[in-house]
Amino acid sequence: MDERPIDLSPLDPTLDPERWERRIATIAALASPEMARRSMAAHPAESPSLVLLGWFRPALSAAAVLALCAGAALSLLIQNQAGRPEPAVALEALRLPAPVAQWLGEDQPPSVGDLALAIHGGRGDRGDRP
Amino acid sequence: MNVADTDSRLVARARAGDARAFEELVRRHLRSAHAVALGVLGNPADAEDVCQDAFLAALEKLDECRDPERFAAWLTRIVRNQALNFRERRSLRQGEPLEAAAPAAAAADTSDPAERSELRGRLLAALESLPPSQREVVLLHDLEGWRHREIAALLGTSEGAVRVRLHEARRRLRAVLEGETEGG
Repeated sequence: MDERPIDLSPLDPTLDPERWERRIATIAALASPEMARRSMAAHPAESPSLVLLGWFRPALSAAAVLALCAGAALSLLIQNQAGRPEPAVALEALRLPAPVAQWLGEDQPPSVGDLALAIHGGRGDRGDRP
Repeated sequence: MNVADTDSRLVARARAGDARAFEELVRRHLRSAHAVALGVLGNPADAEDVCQDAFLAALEKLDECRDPERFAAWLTRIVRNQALNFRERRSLRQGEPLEAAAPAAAAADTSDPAERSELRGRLLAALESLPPSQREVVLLHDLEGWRHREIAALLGTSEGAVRVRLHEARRRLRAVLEGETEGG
């Protein structure tokens, strides 16, 4: 058996330190995305997606409360509109004389006396000039 | 300092995303990884590429390293498998039989200044003449200082077979380096 080793030291890749360091740096740089992924997995609080998820939960709760309040308000509004239509609002907008508005509001035709009173009253409103 | 224990800690830190720990693992084991890859491929440039890919592959499956204290052995197997795959692809491209696949570009690679030295070029040329099975053994033993037992474990063979391959590799290398012509 040949027990004498061959001197292969010229093949030692570390003989060129600069090139050797570049090789190590290249591998480290290529590994950086995977290292970042591992770091995020190991420290979940620092993960942007998980931070957003943390914000999402209270935002969702607030949205649910707002939706509940809005639903309740809408329900009350619908109840008011369905149970009590208010023609007085339209009559007021027409700026009719008070007696006329009252007849329309009560859905009753005026009597002759009411008409005469309204006419006289109307004249009176204009300053009682013939 | 127990190197195996330190490797174990480095692996644990690298698993948690510590880039410095991974770089330290690279720094420690790149040299032996290079020897393994060079032994399989015979070409320093190809060995560099394979080492790079092997370290990245090892990082991706670092969680599968069941025994971090034996990280070096685990990594070396990855490097060797990657080198064997590389050699197979290269042989398919070049249409050469696997054992005869010669690293034609080895001596022509001038990107490494040290490679310009005459002795380095002669050594690489001599190594090219060896079968990969002998080249692996002589590089790991005479360049990296591995023991027969360690080489046998990596190659999946007996210590006796390693001794025989080492003897034959040295005999052939001396013959080539001394300018002799070998028939077999």
